[in-house]
Parts: sequence; structure tokens; C-alpha cells
Amino acid sequence: MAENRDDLDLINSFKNGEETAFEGLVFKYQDRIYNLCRHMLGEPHDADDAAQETFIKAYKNLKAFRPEASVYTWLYRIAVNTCIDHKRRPFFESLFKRSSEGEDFVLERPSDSPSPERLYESKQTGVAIQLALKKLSDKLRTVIVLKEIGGLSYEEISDVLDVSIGTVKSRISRAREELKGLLKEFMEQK
Amino acid sequence: MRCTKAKRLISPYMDGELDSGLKQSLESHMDNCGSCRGELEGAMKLHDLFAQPVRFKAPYGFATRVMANAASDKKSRGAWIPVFAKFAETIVVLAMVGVGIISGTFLINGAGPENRGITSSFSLEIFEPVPPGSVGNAYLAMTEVRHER
Repeated sequence: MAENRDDLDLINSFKNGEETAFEGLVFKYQDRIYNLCRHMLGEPHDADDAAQETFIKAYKNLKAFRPEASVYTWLYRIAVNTCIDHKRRPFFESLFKRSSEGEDFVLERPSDSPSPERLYESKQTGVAIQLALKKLSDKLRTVIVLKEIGGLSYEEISDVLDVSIGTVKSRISRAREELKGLLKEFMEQK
Repeated sequence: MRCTKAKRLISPYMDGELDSGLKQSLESHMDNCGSCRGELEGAMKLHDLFAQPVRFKAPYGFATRVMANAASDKKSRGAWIPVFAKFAETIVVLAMVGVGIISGTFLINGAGPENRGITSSFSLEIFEPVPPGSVGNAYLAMTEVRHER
């Protein structure tokens, strides 16, 4: 709630003509939005494009933002829609894509100073999750990424996707069932 | 509670999205059902995979690029004014050239016999290769005399 208060202060400053206030929002949410796009799209340059586009759309529509909504839910909604649009882009554009799985993994808590083995294991897990996510349908991938990566509640996911909580619940259950099958061998090795 | 219902509730249970009544009935069911307990353990294992502290970070300079793109987007949104100005400028120049051509054509075609003198005075035919009384004319006269000899 306090987080949203800070966000609303930034938005109000922006509405009053303080352009740098938007930069504050970008700094605050850039990693979360990029991380979401990266898990939704798989490729770093696609994620970069989609995350950039998300913030540009937010910039254009910030003046129309309703204060009763949560800023990150609103940003997530824009990001999800942008990622879905990105996936629908023409085939010839995908010909120029390069693959670079796992290249920009970073530790969320660098102070943990993990051992190289632990870091390697984390990277392996990240790659396995990404490959499994790629095999899910867009609908199932979106809900599971919002839940497990974004850490959103069912209510927030239903708000982002504009579907009922029951739909969110059943999609998350289905996504987990499919992921269990896809990651079965990987989980058995661990 | 039946196993089919219990298995459907495992996912929201894990996410803390069950109300207390359903939560209690599921827990008491799992106390007596190894299969459903196994389901929960499998789901927890998957959940733990996602809980690894590795995340992707936005590339270096991301925010700077966003702000630069936002600024250029803002400029391009206001760019209709200079575009309109350029368009108007081109129209004015074309109109001036058009007026010039039309009035020139009118002057030439519209010249009657009374104006012929004026028109012919502008004709290049009145000009001689060398104006009379000039140094060039004197030179030509001398060379002609020399040729005659």
C-alpha cells in the first residue's frame, strides 16, 4: 500500500509536469517488467523490446491512469499485452532473432555469495524452467509467470488479465500439472 | 473430501488462496491420503524451483533508453506543426512559380501590334555580335581590310 502511495506521488508529480518522476517509476519497475517479459518471450532482445514498449505505452497513457488501481498491476497488464502482441509479429522478423539462453541471469540477492556450484545449479534450473515455459500455451504461461515470477495474488492476476478468479485458479492448476510433466526428469535429478 | 476435489485444491492451497474451512478439510484429507500428500509434495517441489534466487535484470542503460524514446516520441507527436509549415511553404513557392508562368505567358501571347515595338526591343535579334563603335568593331574592320588586300 505504501509502495502504491509512493507510485501515486510519482504519477502526480509527472502529471504536474515533472518529467523525471516517470524515470523514477522506470527505475523502480524495470527489473520486474524485464524479468516478466523475459519469461514470457524467452529471448533477451525480444524482452528488451517488449519492456521498452511497455514503459513507452505507460508514458503515453500515464495521464489517464486511475489512482484507485495499483501501478504495478497496471504496468503488468501493459507488459502482458505487449508480450502477446510481440509474439504475434510476422514470421520474417523472427528470422533475425538470435538465441542466447541464460546469458543474463543474475542473483537476486548478491550478498548471499553463492558457491560456483550453487550458481551453476541456479542457472541450470533457470534454463530448464525457460524451456518448459516455452512449451506452454500463451494463456497458461502468462498465469504461471505472473504467479511464480511476478508473485501476484489470484486477485491481482484476475485484474491484470481481466478474467475471473476461478479462471485464474484453474489455469494455474493446469499450468502446474503441465510443468510437472515437462520438468519431471529435471526434478528427479535434483 | 474426495481425492479429485482435493487435487484441484492443492494449487490454491499452496498459494494461500483457500478459505479457512476448505483449508482445514484439505489438510485433514491429506493426513489420511498418501496419494494427495504426494501430489502436494510434487507441487511444492515445482514451486521451489521457481523460488530460486535467480532473476533477469534489465540491461544496462535501460531507463535511459526508455526516457530517450519517450522524449523522441513526444517530439514526433508535436511534429505535425513543422510538417504543416513545410507543406504550406511548398504550396506558397509553387503558387508563386505558377503565377510567374501564367503572367509571363499572358505577357507574351497578349502583346498586340501596338506593343510589338516593345516586344521586339526585347528580342535578341536587335543585338549585333559586336556593338558599333566598340573596340571589337574596330578590330573586325581592320581584319576585314587585311583580308581584302
